[in-house]
Amino acid sequence: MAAVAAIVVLLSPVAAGWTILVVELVLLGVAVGDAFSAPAPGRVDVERELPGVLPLDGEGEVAWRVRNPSTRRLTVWIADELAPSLHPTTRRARLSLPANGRVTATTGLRPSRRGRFTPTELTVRVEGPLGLGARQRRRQLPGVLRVYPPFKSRQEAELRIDRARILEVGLRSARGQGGGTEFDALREYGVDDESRRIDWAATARTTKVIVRTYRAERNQTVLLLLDAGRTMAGQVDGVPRLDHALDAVMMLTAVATRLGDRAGLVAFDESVRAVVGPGHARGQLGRVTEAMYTLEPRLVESNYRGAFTHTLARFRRRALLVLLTDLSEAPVEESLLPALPLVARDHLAVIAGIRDPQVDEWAAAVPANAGEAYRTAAAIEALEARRRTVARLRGLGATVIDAPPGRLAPQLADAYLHLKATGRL
Amino acid sequence: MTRTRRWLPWMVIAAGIVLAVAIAGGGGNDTGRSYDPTSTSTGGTKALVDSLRALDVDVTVDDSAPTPRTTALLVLVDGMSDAQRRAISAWTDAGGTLVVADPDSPLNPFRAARPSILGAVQRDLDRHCDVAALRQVGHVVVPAANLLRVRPPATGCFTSGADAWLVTQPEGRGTLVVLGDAGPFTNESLGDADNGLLAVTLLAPTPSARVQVLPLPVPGGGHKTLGDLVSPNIKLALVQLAIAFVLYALWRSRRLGRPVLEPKPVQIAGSELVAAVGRLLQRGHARGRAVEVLRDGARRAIAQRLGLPPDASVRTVADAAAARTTRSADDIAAALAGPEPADDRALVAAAQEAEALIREVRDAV
Repeated sequence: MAAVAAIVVLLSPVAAGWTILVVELVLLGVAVGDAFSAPAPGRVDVERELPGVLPLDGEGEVAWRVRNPSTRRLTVWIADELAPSLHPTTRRARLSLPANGRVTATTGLRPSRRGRFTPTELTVRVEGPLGLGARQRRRQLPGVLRVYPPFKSRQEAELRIDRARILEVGLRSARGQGGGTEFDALREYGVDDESRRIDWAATARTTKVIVRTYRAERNQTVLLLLDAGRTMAGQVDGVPRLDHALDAVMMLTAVATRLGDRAGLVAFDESVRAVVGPGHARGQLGRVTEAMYTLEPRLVESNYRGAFTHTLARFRRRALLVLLTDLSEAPVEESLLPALPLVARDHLAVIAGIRDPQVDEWAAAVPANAGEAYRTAAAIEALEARRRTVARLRGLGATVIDAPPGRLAPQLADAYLHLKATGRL
Repeated sequence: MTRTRRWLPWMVIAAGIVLAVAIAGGGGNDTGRSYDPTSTSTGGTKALVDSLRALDVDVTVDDSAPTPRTTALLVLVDGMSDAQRRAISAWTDAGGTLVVADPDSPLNPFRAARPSILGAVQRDLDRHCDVAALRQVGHVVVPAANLLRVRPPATGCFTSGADAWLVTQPEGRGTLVVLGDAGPFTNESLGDADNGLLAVTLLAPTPSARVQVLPLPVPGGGHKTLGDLVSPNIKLALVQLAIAFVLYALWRSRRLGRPVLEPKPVQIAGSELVAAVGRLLQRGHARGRAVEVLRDGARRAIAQRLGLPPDASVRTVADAAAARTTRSADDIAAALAGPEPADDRALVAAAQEAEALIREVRDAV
């Protein structure tokens, strides 16, 4: 409109400076009048509906419900405090509200970062009837959106749970490889049963040959110690090591609790940051996820001794202690190796590290130039140091899993199932 | 054919430009500019000069300062400097008759009357004044009808309402005559009504008169700036546009919702340490250490492949590998424990050799 006023000035018979002043004053008056004829933004009812929980890289939707308090059509703009990493389709919306009407607008979300998001501020702008002026105000509308880590190994977990249950059923009918050690029941001998399982006392009491059946022990404790220190910040396959570890924690928790064991969590860096007591209720996976979804690696040295001491003080029962950390030589040598005997004496220790496929690739590459040759040497040296570290940890009685992303969680679950089946727990 | 069609429009445009340039550029010395006293075009004023000369009036067309013998000076378009104007004013005060036909000239003390839509049409104006020198002139035809505000003690003639096309007032011992425009003196209009008579009456009331007509300023010359040439309305409209832009910028600058800040997670590759160590080795020219690591790695890989302990000696590994491959034990031993490379090129060759050996053993086993 101000530009159109230039034509008015151009055609004006009076070419004086005050003509512009008059034009501007008229424009200003119209714009201010238009703005104040719009209802105050505080009167416009706005509600926000968040999805509550979303998995990382999942999709969700935010809905804004806006009600027009006035008796004439209203144009309202809203802008929500949606973080960039939520990747909203848009965080602003223009709504045309009928008189006393209600309109709902939505926008899609696809979070690329896990954690707790608390969009609070919602800006409301109400346009005047002519669209020349507007009134704007910030409203406080607190909301919470939790973005959980993606449970990428869910299918692997289900596979292992099913396999373990089938194996357990098989154990009841015929002794298979390994097997549990907890007495389950007596039944009649079958052709596939081992003769050493025959219960001679029971057989003597009946006319049939009776065998003992066993099942895997239940209600055992699996404690997951999650390192969230500086070494877990490094990205492997574009994701921090910590996130790969979270996936392993979720898988092991799911498998252990579904098989009747109790799983708990201790997350730590230089101090203990989260604790979930062991449990096997249906919601245990949710509790563990809830405790660790906000965890971000901190650039501090991890205090293994402190974490072990805390764990031993709180949970005295023999348990499978699974430590998820990085197997870098220096921190393991300086901190983990001296502290490991604390837990290795009374508990079964499993140490899991995320192996970087990039380093493996560099070590196996045929160098084409000097830079690549030196890098290959550095990669071979790093892998050798890692091998020595793993050997030392194994020497102290720990089971060590050094697996690349995607394989860590399944291998850890397999190790747990193996230890359980062999009765070492 | 297609190519010809494609170029045809451009050729037509080019021909049109050439034709336009020829037409505009042709015509010899006739500039075709409005009010040009040397132009015979309809807008020129050469007929006025020739008419005066036909009446044996001494007429000169030049831009020099008028001499005391000059009785009348006609300014058709003012492109003069301030110094020239001062000289002309002094000459007028000394008794000359200055006829200014350019209402935008600083020599014109009268404001232009407010233009109206009717001003765009031809007007036939009667004298309506009692100036003795103009008594012979009844009415003139003024094509553009640019009128002036008459301000006492000036006298307005050929009036329309309170405004006049011709305004005159004494200046010292001379006379200043300001015309709304020089339209009636053009070749096209000089013969209309009493336009020619008015010109002669104003400029050469007596045969002994000496008239000087100022030529048009050279195109691109003159002393007017671009700002002077732009109409005040256009200037104000431009100012208004600037204000509109500022208002638009202010309107757009009001952000709808504040920027949302969030902590950025640490972005460092887990393999960065290895890459950094590699760069340090290269910068320190640690070829000996690098080749030792590469060869030792190859020895371990081959030993593992052949079922030997990881700490098996080079000779043991070489002998075992030689038994499985076409290479000799000495050749393999040299690849696994040769001298330190002399330069980086030798290091690359040693690394490639070690890797080739690993692959050969792997393929053989």
